[in-house]
Amino acid sequence: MAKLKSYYLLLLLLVFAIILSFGLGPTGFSLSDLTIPLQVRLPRIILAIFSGGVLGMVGASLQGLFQNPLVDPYTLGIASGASFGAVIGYLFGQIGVYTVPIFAFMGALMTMFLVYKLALVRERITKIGLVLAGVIMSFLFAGMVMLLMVLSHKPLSEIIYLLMGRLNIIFTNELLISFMVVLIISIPLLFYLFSKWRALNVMSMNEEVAESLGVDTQKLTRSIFITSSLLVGFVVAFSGAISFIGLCVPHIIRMIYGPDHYKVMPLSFLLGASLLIFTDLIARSIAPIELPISVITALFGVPFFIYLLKKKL
Amino acid sequence: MNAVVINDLEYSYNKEKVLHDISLEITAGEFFGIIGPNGAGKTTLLKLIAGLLKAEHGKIELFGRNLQDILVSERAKIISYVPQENYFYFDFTVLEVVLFGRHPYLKPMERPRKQDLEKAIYALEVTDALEFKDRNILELSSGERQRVVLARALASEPKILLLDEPTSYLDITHQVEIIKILKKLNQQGITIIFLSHDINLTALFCHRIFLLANGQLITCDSPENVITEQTIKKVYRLSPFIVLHPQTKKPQIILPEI
Amino acid sequence: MQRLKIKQQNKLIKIKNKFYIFHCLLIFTYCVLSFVSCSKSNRETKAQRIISLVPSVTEIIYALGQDSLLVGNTIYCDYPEAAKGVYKVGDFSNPSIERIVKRKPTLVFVTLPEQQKIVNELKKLKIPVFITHPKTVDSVLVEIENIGKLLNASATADSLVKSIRRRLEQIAQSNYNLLDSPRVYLEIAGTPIMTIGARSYINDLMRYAGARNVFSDIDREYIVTNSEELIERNPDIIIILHPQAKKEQVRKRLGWSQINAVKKNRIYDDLNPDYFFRPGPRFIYAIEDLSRIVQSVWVRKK
Repeated sequence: MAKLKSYYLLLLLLVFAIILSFGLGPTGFSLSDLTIPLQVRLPRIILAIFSGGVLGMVGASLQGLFQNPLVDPYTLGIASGASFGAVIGYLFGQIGVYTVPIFAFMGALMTMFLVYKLALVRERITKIGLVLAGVIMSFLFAGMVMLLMVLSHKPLSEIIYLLMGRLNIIFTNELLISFMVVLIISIPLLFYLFSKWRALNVMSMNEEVAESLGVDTQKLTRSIFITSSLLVGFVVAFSGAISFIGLCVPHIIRMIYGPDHYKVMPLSFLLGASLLIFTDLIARSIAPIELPISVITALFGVPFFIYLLKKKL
Repeated sequence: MNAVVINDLEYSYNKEKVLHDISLEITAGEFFGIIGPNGAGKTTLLKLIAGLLKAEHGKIELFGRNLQDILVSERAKIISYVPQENYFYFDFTVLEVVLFGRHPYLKPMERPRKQDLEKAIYALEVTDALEFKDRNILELSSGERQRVVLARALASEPKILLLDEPTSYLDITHQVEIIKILKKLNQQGITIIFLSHDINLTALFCHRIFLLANGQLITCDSPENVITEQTIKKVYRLSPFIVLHPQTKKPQIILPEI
Repeated sequence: MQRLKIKQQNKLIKIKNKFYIFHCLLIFTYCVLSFVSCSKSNRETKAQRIISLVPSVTEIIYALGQDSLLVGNTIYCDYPEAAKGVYKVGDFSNPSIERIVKRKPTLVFVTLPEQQKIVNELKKLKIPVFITHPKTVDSVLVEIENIGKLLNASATADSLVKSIRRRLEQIAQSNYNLLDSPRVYLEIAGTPIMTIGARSYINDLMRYAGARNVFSDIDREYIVTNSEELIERNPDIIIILHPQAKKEQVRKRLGWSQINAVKKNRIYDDLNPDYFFRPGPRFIYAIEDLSRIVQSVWVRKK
């Protein structure tokens, strides 16, 4: 019963966020003409649900897999690699709306491959190896991004928005269709992550115990790493490296609803999506100047997180 | 019926051989002790039986079936492994942890069913841990936690229970508590393979003791035949006094003046 | 409503005041520096050795015919063609102080705020600097004259400024034909979309061309904005000054079909960004190009 309630509560929050975000904006709202809410606000809301939800859920599954509360979707280097790709695309790519998303996703794939190869020791993937390789790759790509920023003579603020996350990507019909394709690909990936909830629960004990209970920890680590990397690659390609959500949303959920991944993963999706919609509402309400999303997630999210932490202690 | 049969088992870590030619038979229903000095290869042997490591040479059979041929999910219903260290990273409740033991019985994605809950409650009853079933696993004392870990292992309804030093972090009261539970389980027909540094404790209730040193079998026999001045001197390089327990007449060692 | 207007006016006055202070400072620094460098060059009668860290200043130096004095510039100084062959001291934001010193300059042209660090270093080494950061079209012209004086090319500078002023006058004349100023949106980056505000020199440049920046009410140099804000501001003309989007793509942006400029197909993507971004002699082309567009679509029907 309590479980059901928690789902409803967060679902309600999400619906509230969607309605609010759909109705608010500089051009106002009238039922007689829904062009702007449908064409401009709705794609943005869907992008926020997708990005926030994926980051929350991937954060939850990676924290569960690595049994480390400091892991977030970017620990495995994917965001840095995607940012690197995006910056390359931005600086050297051909004209077009696809350039940055495609380059970002290529960067994510390349990083995933590199991290995986680095972490592979004697045909086995170790969790510590993955985290180390991810952190090392993060540093490498962050450095290369800095280098490109210094060497480029294009406006730096554009790259900063790319690195800090933004939901004001301008959709055209074609871009919207490719985003929908990504969305459709992501649904089975998310479902796959969710289907691992019991294995992740068992993994929160000693790895050998999990193994003796029939969990193939190698396979699990590998499949969650690849699934997460793909999903994070998609998110960074469209929204940039939005921080905080992937790290803190799973914590908030666990503090309130306990650590059972059966609840933590979908609830992290719901809360991540709602939080990002609200954050985006703030980001575009300070318009005409758009703020990078991570600025707001940090400024509003961290105090809330500290409050929860203190309350719990 | 033999629960475990081991033939010519060999294992090495990084080309260094840690187990040589181990052969061994453990009867179903036996309370079997494994002792030996540090680095003798005890934990390796236990993990090999649990299927967590793969033997490079030799064969392990569980109830007449080759371990390699048993599916992991099926193996999990035969053997429960309790490691020496039990970490928990998240604040699951005790009942949730015990339900992890039901993992091999559930289909992918399936939530624990009513019968799984019953099995978990029963396991908690057996290990005398039912009273704190709703408490947070991270808040328990070592003694309480060890009982929960045992309950988790029991929830898998194993035929064989592998325990790696289950009493090592406990005071004697809690040690005795755990041993009492294990004896109870053994009387219900579960084969118990128990690994310990505590020679006296092992000698008190194990039917047979396997003495391992430098990866080699020294002797495998009843406590009276294993714990002798001669073997202890050979393996541990000490000359203790061996006395007989006043009630059970089992051999107990007393250290000489240091 | 009335109050709001008064407020905005006050704001504008304040901005103007700021500009005056800035100008005074600029002229003051210029006086001090020109005094320092002039007295020096008089005393030593040695040829000047100048380095330009600012592409627009490099263009001014060439326009004044004083490129023989130029002993160094940056890798972004790519106009005119000959400027590419000059000794490179580094890039725009990180020129190498060692390479600058090596060329033994008597004067270095810099801009703020991007080159504040270099200015500090040069001051420590007692190398004279000329700081340029024009905020208006007028100040660019003043600067051309000042640089002319500094490089003993006052006559050339004066005639250059005079010809630019004449062309500006022509455009001002033609602006009388306009209905009113069309509202123009000028996009300088595509991901995310960025434009310029009241503080930008381009804002003034648009005014000369008879256009009104739709974001001129925002007291910033650069502005990151979004679709809906732009739809609300509803520009009459859209100028794309970056390579990430072309006319056809802009037209296809979701929701933009509501914008006047898109409805009337007034999107332009073929202007040279350098004319706009470099406050040098070529800024007049930017004004003329923009004016041509404005004239072609916004003329009063007779």
